[in-house]
Amino acid sequence: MNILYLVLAILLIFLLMVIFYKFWKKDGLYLYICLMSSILSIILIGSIDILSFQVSIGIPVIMGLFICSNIIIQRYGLDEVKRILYTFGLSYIITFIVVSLVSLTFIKDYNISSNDIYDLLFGYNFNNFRCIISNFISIMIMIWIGSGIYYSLRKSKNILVISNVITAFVISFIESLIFVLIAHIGNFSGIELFGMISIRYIFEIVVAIIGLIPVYILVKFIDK
Amino acid sequence: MNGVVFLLLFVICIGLIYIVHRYFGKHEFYLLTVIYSIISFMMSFKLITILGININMSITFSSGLIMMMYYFVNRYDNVEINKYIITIMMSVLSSIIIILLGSIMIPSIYDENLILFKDLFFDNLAIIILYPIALFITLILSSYSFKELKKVDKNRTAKTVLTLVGIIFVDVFVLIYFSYAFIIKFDDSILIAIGNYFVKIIVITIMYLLLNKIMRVKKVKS
Repeated sequence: MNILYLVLAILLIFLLMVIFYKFWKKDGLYLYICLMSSILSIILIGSIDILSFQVSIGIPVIMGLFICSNIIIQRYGLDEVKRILYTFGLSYIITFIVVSLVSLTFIKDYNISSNDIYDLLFGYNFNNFRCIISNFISIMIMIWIGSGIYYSLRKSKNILVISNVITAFVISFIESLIFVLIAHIGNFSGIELFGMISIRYIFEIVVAIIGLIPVYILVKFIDK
Repeated sequence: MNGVVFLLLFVICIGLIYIVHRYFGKHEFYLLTVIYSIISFMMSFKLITILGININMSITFSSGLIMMMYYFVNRYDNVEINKYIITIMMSVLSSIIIILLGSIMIPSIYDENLILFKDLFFDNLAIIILYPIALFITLILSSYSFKELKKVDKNRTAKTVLTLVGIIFVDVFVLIYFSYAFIIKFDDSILIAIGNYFVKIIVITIMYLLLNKIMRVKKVKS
């Protein structure tokens, strides 16, 4: 059942990218990055099991960010990286800080259980903080290095599929490694960590390959 | 503590609008709109007590969204206003669907958060359904009212405040009254709605007065 929900989430995430680009072009892609970053800061703390290893439910959103940044680089050049990083970083951090700030408040009379759940989910605790920081660092590095790799591949051989797939293969590994090491080291054994990195890596590659469809639609069709 | 956090959120909300107005442009206002929409939606699950009044925490940032609508109406044309409403609705609806899809997945054996997500959303299903409806009605009403108020010369401030009092009434009673009527019960819900109504009027009036001052501040060209 999880796979079905994941597929639905992936389709929705990529469909949103196409809609945002169709209506607002470059500004739309930045709005999409902002939206996905804010959503990511809320859902990344949830995880599911794939082949008995823990995987974050935020991966489709992360790959949405990766593919969106590739499209921006493809269309508007490497100068946009700084702006992509600012947009992602600020949206992610502002949403996290403000949503978490509310967990410091309390209620006396009504809806106490929902308030407690909110505090447990978004409260300032060590595990949440590790997750947030590791995601922030890994995605910043993913966008930064990924854009460089994508741009050089595009310059040497402007074949959309090859540039995207090779970048995804390299960058997903770096992202998975950084995320799992910062978020989970000390909580799991070496074998479990290796499994988590591998599953995260494979899952990201699969989502990135599915993501080639919106890339193709955006780059090849919508502009023409 | 509740009062301090509430005040801090108010300062953050109006402070970010000021920063974007002074140092950035229209595009950054859209980015802020997306962030405020999601923050406001997430905060709608939280109820806090300040001076004996139970307040839904979304009121600060949803007031921020209404005030940004005021800013857009006074600065930009109809196309941008429609784009502003579409951006908010798309952000809220897509975040609801993505978060709901995440929360109904079977969690990892090491994970406690997805179960909590599920409890939070399904205990407050009325809020999830009514929040986008209330927001959409409020945005349509405020866009129409602000456009009409632009033509008024006499007593514009007083008339705008009175309009806001009316818009907030619709907003609070669609969202707060009906959602808490289902979540808690009808009798208590009316008390929560009245408290929220008065607090939101105060918040939005202060925001409106501050925004008028902010709009007079000259932009710094980047």
